[in-house]
Amino acid sequence: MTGRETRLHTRLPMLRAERGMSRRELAEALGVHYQTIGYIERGEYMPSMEIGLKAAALFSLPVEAIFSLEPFPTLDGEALMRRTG
Amino acid sequence: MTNPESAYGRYMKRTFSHPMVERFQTRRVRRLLVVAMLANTALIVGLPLLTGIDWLGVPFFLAFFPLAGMLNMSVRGVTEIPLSSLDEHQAQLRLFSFSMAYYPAIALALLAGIFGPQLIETLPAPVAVCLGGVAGGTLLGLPALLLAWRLPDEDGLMDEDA
Repeated sequence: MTGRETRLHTRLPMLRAERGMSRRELAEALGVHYQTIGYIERGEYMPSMEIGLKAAALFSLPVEAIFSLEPFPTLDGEALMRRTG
Repeated sequence: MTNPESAYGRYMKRTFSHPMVERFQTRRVRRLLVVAMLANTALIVGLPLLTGIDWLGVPFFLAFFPLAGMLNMSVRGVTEIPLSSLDEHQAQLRLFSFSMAYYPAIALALLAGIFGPQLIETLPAPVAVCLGGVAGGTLLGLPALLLAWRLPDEDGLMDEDA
């Protein structure tokens, strides 16, 4: 939208699904509009450090476990790596 | 750095987040509204000139205001709601829309300044008044107009999950 090339990958949809959390609930917790969550989840908007840290605190995870500039490995791939590594 | 959110800002934010308003926020509806606004502007001037009936543009001039309101709803009011009531993404969209409209608005204002006086003299009075009003409204609403055309579709808008 603003010409930025970098795409942000996120595990927010998975984390929401795991906790049965709707976009609206997550948006309220992070203090943004729920459509903004949609933009972040689709990688169309790179959120600020403030949102990143709030999400990390909310899910009790490090920021880099939620957001990444590289695509996240699939869960199958990760599990396989752990088993064989 | 950021101003505290005003009661007016909260009211505007609530209004533009109403489920009824969200029905205007699909790309199809947004683009239809942009086309309707442009067609309406053409009819305001074109119909009286084509038919010779001076007041024929007035109903379309009156239609301009609800159309402009619907256009604002379609972009979640990001160009209308006070900045202190927007989240960071909405604030970014607002700044993007204003920067996108900057040069077109200057060009339109220049054209209006250069050709406006001559044009108004040649047009019948009701048409000239309507055209002046719509030109001013279009200039002010240009950020919302351009943003409405450019915004991508937002999936899951009507989802229960949303």
